[in-house]
Amino acid sequence: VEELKQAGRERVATLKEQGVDEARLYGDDELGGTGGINGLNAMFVLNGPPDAFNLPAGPRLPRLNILPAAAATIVAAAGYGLAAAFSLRRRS
Amino acid sequence: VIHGPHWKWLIIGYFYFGGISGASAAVAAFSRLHGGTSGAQLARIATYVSFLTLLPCPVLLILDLGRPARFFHMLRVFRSSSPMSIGTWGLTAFGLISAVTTGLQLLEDQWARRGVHPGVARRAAGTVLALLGALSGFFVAGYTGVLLAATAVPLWSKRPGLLGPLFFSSAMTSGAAAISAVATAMEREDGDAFARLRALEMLSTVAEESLLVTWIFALGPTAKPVAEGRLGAVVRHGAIGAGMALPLAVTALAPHLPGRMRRPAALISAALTLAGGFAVRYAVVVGGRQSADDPQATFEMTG
Repeated sequence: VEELKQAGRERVATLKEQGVDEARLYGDDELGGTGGINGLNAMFVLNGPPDAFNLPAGPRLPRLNILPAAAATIVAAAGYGLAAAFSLRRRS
Repeated sequence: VIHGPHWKWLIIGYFYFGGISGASAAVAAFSRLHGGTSGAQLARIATYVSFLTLLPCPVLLILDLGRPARFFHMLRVFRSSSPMSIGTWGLTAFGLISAVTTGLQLLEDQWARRGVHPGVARRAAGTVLALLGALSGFFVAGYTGVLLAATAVPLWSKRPGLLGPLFFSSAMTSGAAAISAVATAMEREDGDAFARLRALEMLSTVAEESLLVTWIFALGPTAKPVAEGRLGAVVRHGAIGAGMALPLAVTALAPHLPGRMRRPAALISAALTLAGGFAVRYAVVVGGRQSADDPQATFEMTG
């Protein structure tokens, strides 16, 4: 992957010298437009924005959603636990 | 752009029954722990509802995964970062606790018929089981929403903080409705514990309704699959209208009805609520598939 990345970067540099200003390496953590997930294991040399190639410009890791979803669900469960404990309690 | 989930329609049934079973276990636990005599009666019904709705779950899940070996692969590998792995473990733990609780309940029914009163040890075991049942039941009711939120499907993953609570409250509403339906059908709905359950059911319905509407609005254009077309109609008329608003109205009117009309009204209200809960799961799962097939939705979220 590192070798591929290096080759891709060189190709992009060459393209830019040749006047292709839009050239970029998609999937690279530094040059491409895939900020946030430290690059991909598949890379493409593009001559335009990723959207034009049916590639998401800012892909995200689904795994990052576990924490907010789990936290929100636990808060909801705590609320329900309180509501259930309160409403199912025997009134004397 | 992304690969959609390969799950079939069976997963909807699993989410639905798993939610009812988990929520019923929690209702059983709370009623048993501090519901008094009528609470113990309600806990008995809730325990059986929980166990019976749990039975189809592993079958549906295994059929959906394709072959039984996959279920055991999920158990073999414990990965704290995979909701699917944790969920399989949670379901297994819940199943064991549920089986023991149901067994103990059957024994207690036998003893009660013979006039034997439970001793201290049996009561302590009941308390521990109730606490474990509530915890694992809450887990089974809640983890499915987290699982869906942790996918690349735009409809599910765009607002993870709302989908989790929506699935959880949908489970609680359906669970409470299932217990009240069974209690009403068995003509065991006179105790004050039952009235408290109905109050909880109404509260939960209102919470679910607000979460569903908030979720759809918060999604913006990503909500298209569940806001328009056939699924949009299922959500508006099936879930929000007939599944939540109508049972609330029926329940609000019930005290003004003549006595013999109250039981059918309660049954209709519970049946509508159960159907509404299924409509929510159906729309979210099928809508997710449509959302995964729509490249525009992925670009809106990742752009």
